[in-house]
Amino acid sequence: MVIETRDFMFLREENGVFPLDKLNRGDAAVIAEIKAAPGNGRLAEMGFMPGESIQNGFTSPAGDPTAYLLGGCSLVALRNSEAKNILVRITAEQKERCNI
Amino acid sequence: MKLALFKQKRAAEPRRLYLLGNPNVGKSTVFNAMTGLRQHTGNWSGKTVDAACGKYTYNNREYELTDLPGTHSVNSGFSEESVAARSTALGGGAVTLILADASALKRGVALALEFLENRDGGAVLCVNFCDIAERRGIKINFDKLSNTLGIPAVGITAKKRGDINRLKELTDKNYDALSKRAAERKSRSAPEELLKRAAEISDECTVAPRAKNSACCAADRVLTSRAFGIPIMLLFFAGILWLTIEGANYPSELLSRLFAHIKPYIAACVPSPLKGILVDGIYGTVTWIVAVMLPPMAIFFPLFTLLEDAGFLPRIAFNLDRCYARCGMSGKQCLTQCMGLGCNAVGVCGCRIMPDEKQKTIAVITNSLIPCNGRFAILISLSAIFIGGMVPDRLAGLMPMLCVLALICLAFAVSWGASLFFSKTLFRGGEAAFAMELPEYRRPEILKTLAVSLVTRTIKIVGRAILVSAPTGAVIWLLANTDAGGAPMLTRLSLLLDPAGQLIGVDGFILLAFILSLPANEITMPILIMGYTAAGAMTDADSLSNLSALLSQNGWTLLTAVNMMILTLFHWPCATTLITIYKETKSLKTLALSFLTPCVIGVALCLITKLLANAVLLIV
Repeated sequence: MVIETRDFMFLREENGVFPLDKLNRGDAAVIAEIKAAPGNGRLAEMGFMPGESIQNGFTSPAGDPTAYLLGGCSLVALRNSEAKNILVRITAEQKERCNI
Repeated sequence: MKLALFKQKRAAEPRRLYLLGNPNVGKSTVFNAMTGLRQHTGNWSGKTVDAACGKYTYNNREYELTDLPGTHSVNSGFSEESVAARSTALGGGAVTLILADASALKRGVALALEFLENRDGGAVLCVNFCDIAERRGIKINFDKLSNTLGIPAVGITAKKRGDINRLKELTDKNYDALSKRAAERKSRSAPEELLKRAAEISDECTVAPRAKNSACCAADRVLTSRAFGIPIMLLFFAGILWLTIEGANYPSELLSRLFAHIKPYIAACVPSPLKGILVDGIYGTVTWIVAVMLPPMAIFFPLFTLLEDAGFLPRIAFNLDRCYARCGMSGKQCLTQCMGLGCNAVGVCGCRIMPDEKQKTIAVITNSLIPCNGRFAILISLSAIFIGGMVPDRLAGLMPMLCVLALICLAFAVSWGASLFFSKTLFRGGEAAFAMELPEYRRPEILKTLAVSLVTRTIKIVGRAILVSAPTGAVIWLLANTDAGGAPMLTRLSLLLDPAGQLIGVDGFILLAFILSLPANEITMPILIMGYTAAGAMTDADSLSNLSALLSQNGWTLLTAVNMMILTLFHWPCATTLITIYKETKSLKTLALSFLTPCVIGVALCLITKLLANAVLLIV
């Protein structure tokens, strides 16, 4: 049996935190934490802040970068290497909406 | 007495206004609408890299409005410069217009809250794009918003003149009361807290239908899909090129006929000693530029601006980001290159959006590898003559288009290669990030865009070309008609350069034309034509078909044409671009690299094509 990363995430705990680049296309989550890394001030500048909702929108033809719908109002494209530094969690409400 | 004078002077000073807002909420559009200026606007964030300043008068008072680069935060920013600009600007004794997008009110409110907490001076919250929000069923209660925040709040649609007047009236009425406000400075709230409060406030003040989460991305899913993303981009571009080449043909022919028709009348008015220099030199060069350069520019750039206004350019950067990532660059370089398609000097200025110094330098150096519109027109006319002439008539529109498309792809590929080379050798370090906002698609104002881009871009650029070409035309005519030991000076000079030219598959005249067109690329072809006509073959090169005859009389082969096109893509940047590069970077090293890189690439490619052509000839 193959356990996908995503399933594994949900098995762990109610408030499982995982990096943004593991968020599947179309899924929504809430930003939990921005890891300290050089250049991350830029992320805050673009509106990536803890508590903001985020949804994986679509991916470029080469599979990287990915565009995220941030706070339900703006689309921001991030490379996977940047998305790794953003930790998100899926809330109970969001899980319900996704029928998980 | 002294005090009275002082007061009088104070009264005469313009009232200061600042325009602050999230990226891509239409600050430049509002700025243009208020001041009547025509700062270039584009549907992508970071278009405004410098604080722009403009003045207007309302109710007999003078106002000075400053447009600041977009941000989500008053206290942090992409580059230190923009933060510094904001810190000095946003002080007391002025009013800041905080611009927000009605569909993303929360962000604007967060910015307003941060401003009110940290900065002195008045603020007015202007909520833009009310028309779009209304169409989406979003209703905003501005009175409530104003009461909650404690500053005036107004909803506008920047395109509507009445709304702009309303904004001016509101500012005028409240200026004195507002500008005396001092910052709250209780304590600086954490960004999360601000955002939470902003969300609460905007939720209280808005009635919005429940957002459909997935609808927003439908167009993007297709435009960026694995199967269609890149083909659609190429098709769009090919379509624009095809329209340009086909559409430019007719007016171009008409204009050149018109100018040829007028020529004898002008010649009759001019005293005979001056006839050569004025009619053959200046008139010939200027009309050539108008007839051949103007039509393609007047078609291509408005169309390109429409794509830009619709929000297409950031998607191109998004789709191609992988290529840039491989070269150690950010996909934003793509935006600077697209600006370079218009004018390399503008593209070089645009390199300020690059995230760090290393990438900025590389983007500056490689920008002139992308053909600007002056060179673009040369490519179009050359491919129309040579490639279009080689295929049957029904393909005559298609082949030149494919040829120019291929050349532009080549230019982009070479500029990636050069970026890769520089980021691996001379400018190492730092992993590149991409983080870029993708704006919503907006329906461009077609007529206005056409008019503005025709006026501001095309006319300006052609105007500059004419200003440069008129004196150069005179100089070249003098060179072409001064006898230097049995042959005209121009011919002498080109004979000197001929061995070097032959080595790379072109001739001395072509090299000379590139050297003499340093002031502006647009005049390369007129110089070349004058050189050839001075050398003896007295063909009148008034139209494209005559030009074709003139060029083949002077020994042009397909190889010459191809290498001429390669050199058009890759030679040194024009003088304006070089000056801009120095101004932007203040580094002679960058300047030298920007000059040499395209030269080396151009010569190398020409050598390769010449070797290939020789090999083919040997086999055949």
